[in-house]
Amino acid sequence: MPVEYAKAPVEDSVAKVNDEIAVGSDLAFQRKWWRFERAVWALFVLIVVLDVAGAFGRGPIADAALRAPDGSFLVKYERIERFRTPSIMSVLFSPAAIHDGKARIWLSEKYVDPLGNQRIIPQPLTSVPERGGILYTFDVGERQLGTQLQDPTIQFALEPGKAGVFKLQIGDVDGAEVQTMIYVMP
Amino acid sequence: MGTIGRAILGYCFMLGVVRVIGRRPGAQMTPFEFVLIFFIGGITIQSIVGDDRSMTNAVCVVMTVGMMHVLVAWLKQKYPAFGRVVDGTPLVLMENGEWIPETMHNMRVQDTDIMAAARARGLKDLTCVKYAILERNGAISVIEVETKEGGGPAEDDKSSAGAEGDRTGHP
Repeated sequence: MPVEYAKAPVEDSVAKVNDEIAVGSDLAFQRKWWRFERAVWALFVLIVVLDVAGAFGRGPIADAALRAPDGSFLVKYERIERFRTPSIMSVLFSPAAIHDGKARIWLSEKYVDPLGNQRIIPQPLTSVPERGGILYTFDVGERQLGTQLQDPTIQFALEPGKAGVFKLQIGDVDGAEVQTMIYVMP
Repeated sequence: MGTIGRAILGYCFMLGVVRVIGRRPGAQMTPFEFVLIFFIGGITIQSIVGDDRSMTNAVCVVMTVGMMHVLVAWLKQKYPAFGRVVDGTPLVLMENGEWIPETMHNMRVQDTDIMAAARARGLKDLTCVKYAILERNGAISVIEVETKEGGGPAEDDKSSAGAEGDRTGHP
């Protein structure tokens, strides 16, 4: 059964200006709204400035580096990542960390999974599950030892598939380990 | 599920942003406003849809946005205060042939905007305008100064072609 609505007389319910034109304006409300608008604009400007600075990732504030306690490797990473946004984490090995032309690095699985490790450059010789993570072995060549050449660098191409806070743990076979928190913005 | 949540969040965010930016974008589509609307829409849709380009996702997002629209319309009708927040209220820009500078300044409306509305009504200059009202949808309604010739009705209380009622279908 369709609902039937009774007809109602028209009432002059809209507020008039100068008692001659029905506008229904509410200047008191509008003044409050203008103040609110300005506060929101200020907030927008603040957010944009913070974004440029990297407070939400991909900027100077987000860039970070961690050195192993024994100086065997240096990790350059973004402490603030963004959901589904590619980034690069680099691990630089010092000559002391290279044995028989090989460098080894261990990454916690808790880090590898949520941060979406897409590929590793160069490709590791081996990837072995170990201590709740993966131990990677890279061929970096003997020539790096004791030379002035640039420290061998491994790059991890990341693309986080989850937003949240994740613990980063990286270590080597000698027991040197660094850990920190990575924030992934939605 | 994530897409639906992002669509709801995106709808609320867009509604809020467009509201605090001001009314001009909705009604007076100069190239300046076109750039704004297309940019905001284009950038938002990427994060809402994500990498799920399936028809299922598109249909669900469209239905979500449609239902959000119905919900907001219902809330506006049920709670007038909510309607004022979402749509604002009409504002008088010119009263008895005098500017209201506070409203003009805060709504970022120029005299040329009012003249454009006056021309649409067939008026030759601003001295012919008695009232100019910025409607909730951003259109400017113009009420003419009464004409003494012919002793006809004092004022024509029909609003300009861009008036809100004409566009939305309801007052």
